[in-house]
Amino acid sequence: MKIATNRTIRRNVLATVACTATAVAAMPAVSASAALAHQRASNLANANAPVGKFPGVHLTLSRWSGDPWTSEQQAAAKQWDKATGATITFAAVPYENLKTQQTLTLSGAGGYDILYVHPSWFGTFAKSGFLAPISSYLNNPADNPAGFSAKSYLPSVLSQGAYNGSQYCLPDFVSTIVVAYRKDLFAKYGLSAPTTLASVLADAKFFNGKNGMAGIALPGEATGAISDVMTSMLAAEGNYWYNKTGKTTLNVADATNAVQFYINASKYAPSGLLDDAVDDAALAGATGKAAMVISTTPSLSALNDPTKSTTVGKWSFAPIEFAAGRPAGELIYWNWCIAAKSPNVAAAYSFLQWYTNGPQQATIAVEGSTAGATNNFYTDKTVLAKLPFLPAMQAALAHSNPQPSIPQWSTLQPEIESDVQQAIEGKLTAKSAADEMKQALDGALGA
Amino acid sequence: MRASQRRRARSHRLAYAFLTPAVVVLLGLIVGPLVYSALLSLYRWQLTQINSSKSYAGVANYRAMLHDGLLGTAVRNSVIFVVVAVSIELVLGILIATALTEITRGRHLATSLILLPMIVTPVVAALIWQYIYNPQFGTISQALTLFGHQNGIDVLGSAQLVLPGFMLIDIWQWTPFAILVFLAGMLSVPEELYEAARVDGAGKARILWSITIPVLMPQILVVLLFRTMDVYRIFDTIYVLTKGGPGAASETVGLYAYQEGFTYFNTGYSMALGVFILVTVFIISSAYIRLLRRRRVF
Repeated sequence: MKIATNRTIRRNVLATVACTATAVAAMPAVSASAALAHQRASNLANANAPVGKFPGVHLTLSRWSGDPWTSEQQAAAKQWDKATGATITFAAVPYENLKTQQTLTLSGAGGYDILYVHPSWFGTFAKSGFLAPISSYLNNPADNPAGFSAKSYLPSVLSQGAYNGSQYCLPDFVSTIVVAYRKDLFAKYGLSAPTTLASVLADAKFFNGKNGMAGIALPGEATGAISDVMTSMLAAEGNYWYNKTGKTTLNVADATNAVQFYINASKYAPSGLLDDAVDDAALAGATGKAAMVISTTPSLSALNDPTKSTTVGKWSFAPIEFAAGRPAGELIYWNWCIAAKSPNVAAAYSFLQWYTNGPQQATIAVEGSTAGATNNFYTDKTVLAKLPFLPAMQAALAHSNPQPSIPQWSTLQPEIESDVQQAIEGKLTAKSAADEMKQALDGALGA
Repeated sequence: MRASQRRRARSHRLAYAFLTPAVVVLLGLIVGPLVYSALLSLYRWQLTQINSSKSYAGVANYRAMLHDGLLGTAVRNSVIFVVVAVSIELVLGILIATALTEITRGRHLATSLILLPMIVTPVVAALIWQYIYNPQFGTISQALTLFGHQNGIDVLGSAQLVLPGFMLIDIWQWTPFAILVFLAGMLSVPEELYEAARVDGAGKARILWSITIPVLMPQILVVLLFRTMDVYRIFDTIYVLTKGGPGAASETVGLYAYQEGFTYFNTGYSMALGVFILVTVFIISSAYIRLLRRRRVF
């Protein structure tokens, strides 16, 4: 499977974005639902309308349940239904059950048309023939709005949904791992914004215990987030798990540094680190229990959510850096795919193309703290100004590697995360944890 | 004679007719799938290959268990869980049931209240205890702040505390089952035995040890049998709260078999683990049933 490393293309795209994106603007509070409804109506009225009419067609969409993303997509789907005459029903399950649910359904008689597929099991699904190729639709002008094609997507992200030369999925939910920090506390104590991870640790040590706060919160539960943080740190060191041919390239010294950071950070984290998922880490920051948070940008939407946070507006964001001047992060995304057994591939493609396009992604971006995967998402100045994490994310994605999506990753990821947890518990040193990771990768992928 | 033989034959046919639906259900829903699982455990296959051809592996899946360190950890955790949790449930069950027999007014109300945890589904019980164990907001951590411990206690994220934490949940939820069985047993003990003991000068502790417990032995074995089988196969509470973590500190055999099949998709190996669990539960329950038979209960 080809691994995308088109750094030049990424840099050019991000340079274009950098010209248009600005720092966070203080936007007046507006009714979110009214603004979103207006945006959707505008989308339908203009050239971003869905392509095709599918009266009487019924589609079943499988995804993880969680708001605001699921509710927003359901609202969007109703708009699409109205425009095309089709109907979409949602089969939303908790994330930890999604892979099994999809596998059992796709292995059996089927029943899903549209699937939200995580990179860690995309390779398995593509290899098992569960997914329908969409290259013919993506390359056919009649199936897309005027001017829309594969080139409309950020190439490094779109290529992650390809397998053996065919495109299977369209991406969205672009995000990464960043450091969120309490700018008010940093100002109060005269500290400059954290830059390298060494300064993050020093600041965490400084804040730990002050006013009942922990220094830093980060995810420690083995649900994929540890792997995301590790991949981001490896990217910051210029390393990755495997190369274009699928052979392992993990550098033990780099992995040792990354694990050592986790061990050191755990000393300044709230109790319960090994039981904390991304949402728990973000909530610790949102409720004033931690001065800094390392987590995914979608989970960090809790920091400025008035229904969850007592620290709204007090956060700034910085990318992960090991060496100063080289920010990096893992390119996190999800894939929208179509089931191979779906009898409604054309209708399903129409929804996926419309939903992953910039205007629709803009409707979820602000509430969900995610970014789209199309170039036109990054030209919407109004939306970009409302995404406080965006400058940090842009900087991180300048040196990024994608979430692993090889078939073997579903067994490698739990082993890697277990090694990190054991290192945090003191059962392994950072070096021995890195050695175990290398051994697992060599065994599964070959050196 | 012929008439009686005909009556007997008719009676047998009637008995078979009544048994047939139960036997059909047993064969179709339990025995059949068990045999099929055992057959599939001889193949190496993934969950994505349900409808595809599978590669025959013989006893390779069973041989792999001998070298599986994580299985060893799961078995060790399960055994510790069974021994500690069931022992405590047994002792608490006897003590509380004994106390309930001493109550004359309000016994029914007290029994109903004590039984409440048992009627909560395990998933709901797990979610309740997730809040109790929360290191920032949970009841236990908040209570500890009254004693000056400000940092909260991390039960579910601690490799040392997570298994005792699950034992506490199990004891909270299933001691009422032991209480129920023992209370019924104690209330059926002839009062004359206790009167004779009291006349001989026996105190409450002596009566409990020398009369109540020996008479209750069949009930004790029944509780041991059911609770051992249930605790050994425990899955739902651990799946909801930690999924075997942190690391493998709360990994149990039931959860491990599930993860092998539905997380890692090693379905052939998962089925072999299922057979392993079945065999071990069969051995344990056979031992208990043999003890029960010696008591001439059956």
